[in-house]
Amino acid sequence: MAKRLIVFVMLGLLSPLAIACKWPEAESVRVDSDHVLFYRFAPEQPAVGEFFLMNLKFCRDGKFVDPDSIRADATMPAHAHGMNYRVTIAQAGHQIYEARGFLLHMTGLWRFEIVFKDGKKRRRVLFDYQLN
Amino acid sequence: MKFVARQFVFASCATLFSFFAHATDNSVSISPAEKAAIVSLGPWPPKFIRDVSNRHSGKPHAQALGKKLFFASGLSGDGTRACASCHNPGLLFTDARALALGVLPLTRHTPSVVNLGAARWFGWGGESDSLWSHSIRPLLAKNEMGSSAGHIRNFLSTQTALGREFSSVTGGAANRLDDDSLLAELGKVLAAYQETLVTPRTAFDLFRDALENNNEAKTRAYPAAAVRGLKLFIGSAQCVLCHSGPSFTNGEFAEIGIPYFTHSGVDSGRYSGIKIVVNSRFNLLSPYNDDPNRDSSSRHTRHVSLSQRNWGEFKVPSLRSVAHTAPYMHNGSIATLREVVQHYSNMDLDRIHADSGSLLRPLKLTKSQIDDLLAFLSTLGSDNGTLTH
Repeated sequence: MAKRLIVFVMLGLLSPLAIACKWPEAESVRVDSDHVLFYRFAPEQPAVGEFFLMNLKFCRDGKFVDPDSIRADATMPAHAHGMNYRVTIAQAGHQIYEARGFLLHMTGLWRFEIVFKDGKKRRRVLFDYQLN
Repeated sequence: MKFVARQFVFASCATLFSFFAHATDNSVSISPAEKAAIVSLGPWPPKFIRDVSNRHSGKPHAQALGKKLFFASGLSGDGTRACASCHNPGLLFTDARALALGVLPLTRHTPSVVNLGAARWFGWGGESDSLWSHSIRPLLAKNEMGSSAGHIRNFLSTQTALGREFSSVTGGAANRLDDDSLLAELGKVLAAYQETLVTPRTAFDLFRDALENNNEAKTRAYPAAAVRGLKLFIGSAQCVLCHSGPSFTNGEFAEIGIPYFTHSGVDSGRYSGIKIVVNSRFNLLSPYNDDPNRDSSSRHTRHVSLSQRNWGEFKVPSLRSVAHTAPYMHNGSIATLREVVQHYSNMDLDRIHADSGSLLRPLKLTKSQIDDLLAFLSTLGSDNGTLTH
């Protein structure tokens, strides 16, 4: 049983998803069994009422990929409203994307939404950020 | 400039003296989270940041000329109205009227033009994306100053002292500029003056700085009622969500249940404001933006998004000196600050547009809570409304 557990853990550690997709200083969110989203803000700590960028990388089966389309937005669930600005996506390097036009105009919990299409399927991932 | 600096020091000392002379020991505790929220409302005054879209921004000669032009009634079509006719320096650059009066009666309340240096949008509906482009708008509006490029060109003819000064500051005689270039130059010179208008430090700023520096003796000098009001402001009343930062505004737009019907129709506020700004020939996407890196200075215009929920939204005003700028709201429909607080206390949610989200709710404040909020708001202005440059 112990052996089995060790093998399972090692398989997990050695899985392509765990090994191949690395992006230092970025946060990651698992999208589904195949995909992981990596993101980081610039500047690192967004401030109230200041524009900031979000850099994005998309990992599928352990390798970074170029999605067919990407959309990004943010909302405040507690207040049922979003931003007053529309985010645009631009390629910022090899398999790196830049979401421009984020401006969070209130302190509180913001929920980011990234929607991307990889292959035929559209995928949606949400993650929260507390703006103080 | 030295004289202005001396005036500023004198005003600050006078405010300090007045603040400590009336000091009372407040005994209301402040939590670390409250302290962080209070500190975020300063420091004041803000550092002057040049408007990179305006080549005259921060230049003393342009500021001096802009001041003369701000008071020049000759810029208006019939020679009777200056910018200062509505933006009266004796009334904190407002007119104290419910609805503004230009050449003809208008449908909105005159907002102050102080503390606009760091703003992103200008006008109740955010019809402009820079102070200089917003300074052009009333000149040409038929009901406001009813002027035209041709009239302004004649007024700034090099045969007049003002015209020669304009030519010297802008590097081009008015009669050699095409209509739009002339208007852009004039707007930029007027803006160079207006961005120098900053309200002085207040009792709140002294308290906020003392709190940040852990100077308990000085924090105790702030009135207890104002501390209670401030705690409501940043706490359960949630005022700080929109009235945030050193200017007490997030610079954006909100609908708060004020009617948007006017004597001549409907004022859709931000909804029409966005349409106007994106189609303006003087917006920051135009060639009149002096920023070589236009990408950065025009971000808000490029990314602004129009949606149905913008209908009936109006600009969140700064609360600095708010006790001295009655009446209130985009249509001047609320006469006193107490009534404004009562409006939030008794808010009728049925009057809020359906898509406005769930941020607003009636605060149901007690009379003493209303008094506390008013005590706090009164500390956001100086007694005499003196301005510093």
